[in-house]
Formats: sequence, structure tokens, C-alpha cells
Amino acid sequence: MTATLPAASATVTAEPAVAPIAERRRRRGWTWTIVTVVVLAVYLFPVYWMISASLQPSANSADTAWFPVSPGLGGFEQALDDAGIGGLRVSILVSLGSVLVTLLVAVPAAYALSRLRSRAVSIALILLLLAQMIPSVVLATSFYAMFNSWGLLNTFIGLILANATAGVPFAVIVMRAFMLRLDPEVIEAATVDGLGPIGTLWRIVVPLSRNAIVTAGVFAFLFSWGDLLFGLTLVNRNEMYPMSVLILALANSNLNTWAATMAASLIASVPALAVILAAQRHVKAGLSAGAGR
Amino acid sequence: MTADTLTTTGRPGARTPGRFRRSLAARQRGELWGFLTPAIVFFVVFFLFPLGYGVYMSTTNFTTGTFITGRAPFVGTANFEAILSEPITFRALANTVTITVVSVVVELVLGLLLALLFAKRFPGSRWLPTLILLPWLLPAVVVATVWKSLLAGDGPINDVLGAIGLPVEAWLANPATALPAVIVVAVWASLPYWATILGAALKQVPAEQLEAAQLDGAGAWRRLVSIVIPTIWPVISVLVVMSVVYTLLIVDLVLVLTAGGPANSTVTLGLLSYRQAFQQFQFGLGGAYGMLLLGISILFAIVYTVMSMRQERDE
Amino acid sequence: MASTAQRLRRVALPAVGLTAALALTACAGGQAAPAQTDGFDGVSLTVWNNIDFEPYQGLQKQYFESCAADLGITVDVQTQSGDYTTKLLQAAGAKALPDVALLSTDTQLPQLASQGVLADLSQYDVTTDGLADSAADLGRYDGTLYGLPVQVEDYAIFYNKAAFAAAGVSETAPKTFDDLVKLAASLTTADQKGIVLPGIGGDGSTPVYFLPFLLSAGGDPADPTGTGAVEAVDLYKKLVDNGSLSPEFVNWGWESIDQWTSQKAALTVSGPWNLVDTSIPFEWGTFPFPTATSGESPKVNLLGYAYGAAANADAKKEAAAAALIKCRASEENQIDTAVQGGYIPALKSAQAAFVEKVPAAAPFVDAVDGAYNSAQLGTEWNTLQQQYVDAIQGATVGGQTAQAALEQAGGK
Repeated sequence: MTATLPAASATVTAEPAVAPIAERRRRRGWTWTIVTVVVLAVYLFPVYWMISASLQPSANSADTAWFPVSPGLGGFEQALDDAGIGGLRVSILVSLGSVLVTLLVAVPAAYALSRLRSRAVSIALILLLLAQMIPSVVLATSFYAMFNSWGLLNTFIGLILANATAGVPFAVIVMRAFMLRLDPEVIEAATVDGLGPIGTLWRIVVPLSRNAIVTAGVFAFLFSWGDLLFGLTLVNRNEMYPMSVLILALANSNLNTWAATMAASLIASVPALAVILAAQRHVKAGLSAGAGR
Repeated sequence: MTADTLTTTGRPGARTPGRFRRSLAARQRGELWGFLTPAIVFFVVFFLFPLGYGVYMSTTNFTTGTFITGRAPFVGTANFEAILSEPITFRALANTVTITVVSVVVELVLGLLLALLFAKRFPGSRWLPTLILLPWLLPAVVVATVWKSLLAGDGPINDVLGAIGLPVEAWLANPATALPAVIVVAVWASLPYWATILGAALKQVPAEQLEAAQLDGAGAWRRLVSIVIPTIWPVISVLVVMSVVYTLLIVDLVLVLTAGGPANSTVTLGLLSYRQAFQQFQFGLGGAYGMLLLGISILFAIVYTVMSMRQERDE
Repeated sequence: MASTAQRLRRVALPAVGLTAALALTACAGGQAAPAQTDGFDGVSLTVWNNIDFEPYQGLQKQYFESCAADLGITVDVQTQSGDYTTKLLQAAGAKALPDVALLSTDTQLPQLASQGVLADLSQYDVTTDGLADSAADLGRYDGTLYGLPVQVEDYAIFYNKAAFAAAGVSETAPKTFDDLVKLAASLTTADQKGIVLPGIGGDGSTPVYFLPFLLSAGGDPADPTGTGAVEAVDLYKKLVDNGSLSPEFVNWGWESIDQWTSQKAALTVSGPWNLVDTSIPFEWGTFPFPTATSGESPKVNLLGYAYGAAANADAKKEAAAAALIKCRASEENQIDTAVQGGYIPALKSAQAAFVEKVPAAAPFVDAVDGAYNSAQLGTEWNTLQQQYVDAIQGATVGGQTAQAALEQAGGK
């Protein structure tokens, strides 16, 4: 701190008055940090519980301790042994496939719905809302009947298509909201430049809508990743069960698989976490844009 | 419009006779409709057909035999009459509505509070709030399994409650506390989404307006109610609609958490639909529950639309 | 360690039930004319089972291969993982059933038998002598013997010896429901409940362990409001009311055994697999089930694992398959499997030998005679299961009387 000399000018005497306010603001800032950290710690306790339990291979559902006193990876071994890796593979392939199908169907549709001016658009939006309201049990039973006739039970394609139903309506709505704001002149310029419809879509619209597309893709991935119902009803072969079904089986087992259940749950959470971390920037921007509708 | 833009750009080689102008616009519209084709096909096959199938199931005597013989004798409203004459249906109806209304309200209030907290600027405010998304990413199976363990009579939640002198309960085993417990879990899993979206929306509130109001002497509450909430109202409405539909349809969370118990105190229409279809193999009844649930969603959508139209008219 | 296949059997019921129903469209296989053949030279048979964990898997191979050597035939033993019921039904539909297959008597055997794709084993030198009637019946469908049961599964009460010692209670089996209630109460301490039983709906555990109580009270599982059912539900109610059964049991399913193994409960019900579980950290014993009134004998539900032969137009193959099954079902094999895998033998002589090696198996073995074949209920069982769960929950945490709970549950 510079000492102020008695003969200092007015500007110099102003400095000491500024410094304490800044300090007060900084201290108040840290208060909020502490509040946030406490809120997060309490809110995320169940996640901690899951991690802690997964490291207690000798515990069972009746006596999990707060803290893993003698941590071990036995739970993880068991989870990955017993078809865990297979389940992970199924979940990853189905979720990625579901994202692909969702985007293939939804991106052109969202673009079209953002450009068309006809009453059909309002009808389409209502239909999309209606589609999201159909109860999953109704969907699952119908898909079972359909896939059984088409031989799509126990297949990746079957699960991918079924899970895409969760992503498509939401994707169309979010991407359309974003695309409404695209500058029409840019698109017209593309048409005049001779780019066909698909070219315009692929070269101009898609790059501009990247944030919305990533957001829609992330949601499609997460919907598919967390699915339990389709995995339970459209699959009856061990090797094709997704992670969620395997976690359920581990949880209900009459053998001691508690640590393995928690380990499998943790393993099942990692890809979802990775996806959202990787897409964070896009999702934030995508949500901000979509939020303004 | 499109054609006009073309004629006025004066680009070399752009000849625009009347016929060309019309067919260009028509062609472009045709292209756009072409883009809609995959979605239309997808919609018809994976939404419209199941919807019809659901109606079909709910009005016939549909059993596992039907999958083979294709025959399902039409029974009209018999399935609906059957489920509506069971007290459990009304329990499920009450529970479904309760869970949905309470969850959405709590998610809105707490979501807004969290969003307001995260909107503040403090060390770490840029990345700490992202962590809250963790619960939302977990599959419902994981959420339910972990919470079952947390809510156990001798679980950590009771340890903490007991330590600070609050009542301790076997939350999921007592018919009086099971439903609130289910609501807590559902909110825990969905709140992060609300907080994040509302957080993004809050950024849209013009800072100058808030500062001006503050200078005018408006308190925090006043600023919230008169400026913040009206500005983000569109986002709130969308969130409410999406959340209501989503919460009405929850099956897997309740299935794994309580399977509808204890003593059917946490049954929901979605759960009963699953139970009838995939545990009792009574697809007709399962379909009827499904249609009932769909009816409620539609009813909500209608009420909501009417209310928002009326609000717009008033403004 | 048991396989995921075993665990998933409990969970994946929805799809199994659906596919099972769907596969019933299969046409019947060819019926072979009974023919006497001697000498099976050159015959090659395929055998399916779904036990995909050791040491049981290896044992099966051994048995069949040595039997095959005795008969002068070759065998290919294949272990199927995944949904075994579906695989069998699809194979039946495609007329590609294996020559010999392991079948569970409550689901797979009735379904295949009803399609007419299994051979009538009684035409060959396969008898059910040495089996209790109830065990033999497991292999029958509509009066014809389609499968020879080799192992059976029923249930018994398991108890923690240390808990008895700590409470100063002698290790005598409770004879009546009231005895059980008193026993459980005397074993209840601050950290340990007297008994743990599953009570959750949906995963099938609750009704399976409830049935022995219902049967031992003289009840008929198909009659949910009969006296037997009422007394059994009332038993659960009394156990919860006097504090020996935690009300949280309504949240527990198959994993409820965890409470017993971590010594949070002194008594529980389990199946024979628990007899060979070496991870249990305390000394334990078994009791037979009590009955509602004194002087009666307990009754349990029984299911079994039987070997069946595919109906084959080639009479020689069919006969060879039957002979292979007969050899496989020998006493030594059954004792071996029991000791290693925790399955109760079907042959009475094997059962006696098993009890000599594993005395705790006595209540299981004693209950086989006169046991109830759960396959009898057919598809009715799905609805009944939920009713019993609802009634149990209603009478305990729901505060109803047993009678009222059953009646209310009977409505749906």
C-alpha cells in the first residue's frame, strides 16, 4: 500500500477510499462461492454415495458405510466381468446410432419447418407435441409387435429406432427455434450460387446451426442412454441388453452384487458425463438461443 | 419474397420471366417438403402407428395370444370400464397428478433460486454450476437404486436427520411418506435441467433495466417479479409444458424405486400401464391405462393453450 | 458365482413372457413310432443346457460324455447363454430342437410339451421309480412323462446360530406359525431383527417365499381369499406388528438375503443354493416351515430341472436320447450336482446321501414328498402374484386385516 504524503494531491487521497470497496466486493463474492459449494456438496451427496459404495466390495445393500475404509476394485471387476462390458458396448452403439438417426430425420425437418410458411407448420408442431405425449408403454408394446414381425427384436437397429423416438420431436423443436433466426439472405445467396437443396442444408445451414444441432444430439444421446423400458421389452438375449437393464439385474440379484451395482452405475454415468462436458460450450450457446423463444 | 430478392439482385445471367419466378418458389417449397419426408415417414411409422395400435389394444381383448393369432375380439369400452371400476386406478390418477403438479412447482421455484444463485458473479461461478448437471445425466435406474439405499431406515439420510433431531422414517416403506419421497427423488433428478435452462434465460434479462430499477429504489423481490420473471416468462412456459408431459410419463423411476408400493401408495398411471402389460400380460388393460394417461396430457395441453391464448388476448 | 443368466431370469420376465407366447405358433414336431432298438452305434446327439457357470458347467459335460461312452454314442454338450426359454421355443418352431435338453419344469417343460415336440419317455426304459410322486409329477404334462427330473428346488428357513446363542434360545424348529412369531420376537434385538422376508412387488421374490407359508397353512394358491391365504398373510402381519420383521421389507426383493448375511436379521427363507454359499460369515442351520395349526406337516412349492428328449422321427435317435437321459439321471451324478451346485437331487436315494453330506439339507429333502407343483397354476399365477404382494403389503404397512387386504387385492 502506498503511503499518502501529507502534501499529496486530491487524486492520491482518493485511492485509499476505492480499495476497501473492492475488497468488500471480493469478500462478498467468496461468500457466494461458499454458498454454492455447500449447495453442490449437499445436492451431489448421492453421487458421492454411489462412488463410495462402488469402492466397498465387501459391503452389501444392508451395510454400506459412509466412507470406504478399505477400498477395493472388486465391485468394478464384477461389474465388468458379468456382461458389463457387453452392456456398455450395446448402450454406446445404440445411443450413438440413435443420435445419428435423430439428426438425419430432424435436421432437414427442422430446416423445412423453419422456412415453410403454411398452416401445415402449426399442425406439425402440434403433432410433435402429441408425439411426445404418447406413453412409453404404448410405444414399447407397439414396437414389440412391429419388430417381432420384422425380425428386429434383439437387434441394434431395433433399439436405435425405438430410442430415436425420444430424441426426434425435441430435436426438431429446438433446432427449428434456432433456425428461425438464420439470416434468409445467406440462404438465398447459397441457392443463387447454385447449391442444391441438400448442398444449402449441408454447407450453409448446418455449420451455422452447429450449437443447436449439438444440443439436440446431446439430448438424443442422453434420452437413449438412460432408457430402461425399451431395453427391457425389445430385448431378450443377454448379449443385447443395454447397461440400464444390467444395472437393474445386478440390483435385484439374490447374490451379493451391491458394490458391482454401484460400480456399474458409475461406469454407466461416465459416458453421459463425457458427452456433456465435451459439448458444453455448444450446449450452453444452443440453450441460450433456444431459451429466447 | 424469394423470387423478388432474385429479381432485384441484378446478378448476371439471372433471367426472371414470370413462369420461372413461380416455379422457383414452388420448387423450393417442394424441396423443403422433401426435407420433411424422412420425418413424416418416421412420424407415421413410429408415432402414428403406435398411437393407433394403442387405441386398438385398449378397445380389444388383447392378450399374448393376440400376438400369434392376430385376433383380438373388439370389446369397446369394456377395458376402460374395468379399470375405472378399480379403486387403484383413482389412486394412480391422484398420485400421477400430485407428483406432476408438486414436482413442477418445486422445480420452478428451486430452479429459479438456483439459477439466480448461479447468475451471480463470484470466484468459480463459471464452472461450478456445471456440476449441478450431474444428477440429470444419471439414468433413472441409477437414480432410483442409489436413492433406495439412501432412504433406507438405517441409511445416511436418516443418520443425518437423526443427528439434527428431525424425525427418522423408513421413507419408502411407509405408505404415508412414500409418495413424498418419490417426489423428492424425481425433483432431484430434474431440477438441474431447470436450473441450467433458467440460468441461460436469466442472461437474456437486460442488465441496464435491472440497474435502472435498482437506482429507482426497487428491492430485489420487486425487481424479480416485475422485470426478471416477465422477461423469462416464455422460457418458463416452455419448461412447464415439457416438464408436465415428462413427469406424467415417468415409469422407470417409480418402477425401480417402489414398484408402486408400499400397499400401492405410489402407483401411477404409467406404472399401472406397465404392470398390466408386461407383468400381467393384460395388454388391453395396459393400453387402456396408456390411453387414460394420454388423455390427461392432452387435457393439460388444451387447458394450457386456452389459458395462454386468453392471456395474450388480455395483453 | 452364479451367472448373469440366472439373475436376468428374474428380471427379464416381460420379454420372455411375450416371446414365449409368440413362439407357441410352432407346428408340432414329428412323432416317432415307439421302436425297440438295441445298440446305438454311430448315433450322435446334441445336448443343451443353460448352466453357464463352473463348476456345474464342467460337471454336466463330464456326466454326458461318460454316459455317452457307456452307450457307445457321441455327444455334443452345448451350453446356451441368454434367454434359454426363447431359444428352446424358437428351436422347437424351427424343428431344430436338440436331442436332449435341460428343461425347467414350471415353464419350459409345459410349454414344449404342449406343442407336442417332446418324446414320451415312458416308452423307453425310463422310469420315475425312486422319485417321490411330487418330484415325478414335475416331469409330467397331461399325464405323460416328458422329462425326467434330476434336480428339484424348494425352500426352507435359514437361521443364524450365533443369534440364537446370544438370545439364549435353543435351536428347535418352530412348529406352528405362533411358534415362529414368538421365536422371531425373542431373537429381535436393537441391531437385529428376528426375521427378514422379501415384500416388494414385481420381481417375483415375494410370492415364491410366501407360497410355502400359504401351503403349510393348508391353503390353495389359486384361492386368494381362502383360510390358508388369510393365515399366511396374517403371519406376515403379526411378524411386522411385533417388530421382528422390519416394515422396510416391502422395499426388498431377492436382495433381502443381504440383511441376513450381514446379520441384521436372524431368520430368513431361501432356496438350496444357499446351502453351498461359502461366503456366509457365520454358522447357520435350517428349519422346515411351520404350519398354521399344530400336528400338521409343512408343505412347500416345488419346481424342478428335468431332461427331456425331442420327439424324433428317427426312432433309434429317440431311444438313444432316452437312454442317455436315464444314465445322466443316475444317483452319483445327482449327489455330485447337489453338493457342488446346491440343487436338491430328485432321486430319494440321492437325497439321503446328500443329507448325509450336508445335514442342513434335511428340511429341503423332507419337504419334497407331497410338495406342490407350481406349474399347475399356469398363467393365472401372474395375476395371483400381484394380488398376494398387494395383500401382504396392505396387511402390514397398510394397516389392514389379513382378510380385508386379501379381499381388496382380489379386486385387482
